[in-house]
Amino acid sequence: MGIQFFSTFQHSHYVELAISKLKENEVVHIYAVPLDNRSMDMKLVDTMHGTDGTSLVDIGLILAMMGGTIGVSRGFVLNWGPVYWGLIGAAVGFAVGFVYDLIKNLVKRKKMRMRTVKTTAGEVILIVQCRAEQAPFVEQTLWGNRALGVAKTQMQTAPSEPVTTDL
Amino acid sequence: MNNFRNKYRNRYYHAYVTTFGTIQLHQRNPLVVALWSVAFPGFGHILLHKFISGFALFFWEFYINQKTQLNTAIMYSFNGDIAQAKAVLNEKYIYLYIPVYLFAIWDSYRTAVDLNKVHLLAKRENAKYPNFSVSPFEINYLDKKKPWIALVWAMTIPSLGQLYIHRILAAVLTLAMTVMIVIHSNMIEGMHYFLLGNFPKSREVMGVQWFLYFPSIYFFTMYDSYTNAVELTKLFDWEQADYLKENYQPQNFVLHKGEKI
Repeated sequence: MGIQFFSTFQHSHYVELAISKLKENEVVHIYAVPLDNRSMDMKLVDTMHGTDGTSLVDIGLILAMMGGTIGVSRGFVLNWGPVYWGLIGAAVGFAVGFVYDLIKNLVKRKKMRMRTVKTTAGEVILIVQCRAEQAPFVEQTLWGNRALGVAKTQMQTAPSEPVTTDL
Repeated sequence: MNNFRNKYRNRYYHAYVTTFGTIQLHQRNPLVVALWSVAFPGFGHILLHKFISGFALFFWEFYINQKTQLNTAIMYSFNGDIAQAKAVLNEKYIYLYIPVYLFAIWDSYRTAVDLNKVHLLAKRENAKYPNFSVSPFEINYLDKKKPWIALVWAMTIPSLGQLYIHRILAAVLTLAMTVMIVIHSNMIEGMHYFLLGNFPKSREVMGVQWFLYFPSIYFFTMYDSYTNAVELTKLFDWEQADYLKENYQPQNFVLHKGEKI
């Protein structure tokens, strides 16, 4: 009775380390499927045709207005005059607001990613077939090389030994 | 000349892992590349991995800038002191500046557009390229690099982020320039007085001609390290996916509908 392991990995050197270690120990029936991962990136800049409720300019423009006003008034005293200081104040205000919104959105996005992607971000499916007595070693190797998930399945029929190909 | 082509050789390559860095084609925004050339001639070319052209333009701008005291003139102009700006500029050299400056911007834009096309062709051809390189000088291999780590190192001392992602040539340039700028502009002394709250003294010790080089180099290395770390990580994933597909999808492998235990 044979065993088939199904496991998921992220792309890294660990996948190759796992495969090479299995091969070293005469577990040669390995099947790998790299996945195309769906991107979870939320659009940060809205377009004319679509908006996702994320805006990076709301707070920025308010702060630009406040910074501009303060800058202009300070400019009457400072060297460069009201125009320069007004522009500087507006730019700084906008930048502060923009960064605030950006960080807020990145945190939000990160939380979303934690909920949805973090648990399912398998990038490679690795299927390993072995004899029952090799199963503990294979399982240990998969987990030891940072598999995200491992499932062990018992084959119902005796494995028809595939022709060994030299890999 | 390399006139005799092996028939297995491909036409375009997506990437090339050399001992001095991983050279990689990827889609770029030509406008962003051109804007980095505006910040400092040569930066656009360095972003496109055209290091020799980039260095030539960089040192050319650096030389003329020193000769004409352009940075000082820029400082006076921003402060509205046009008379001083005129006085400080060296008219013997300043006309040399304009054509090469514009050329750097135009050429980096044009090259970015071209390389985007070549990238598409290379991506479709999907040719094999070396993913590992060892020589007496260095060792380099494809690896996943964390962009934020590259960014943080680049923020400490320019060039460290580039060393982290193994962009040796760019790192050497930024390291050498950073050291020169820090020494000649008395930046450390200036920072010292700044932190002590003695702003007039801080302003007095800092040399504007040298210090004005710093912002563009500082932000450029951050950008260069971060974006290339992102692209290197993507390259690693693609390369590994291709490798797995090629080597670990044997025809005779049979999937069994086994029971999970």
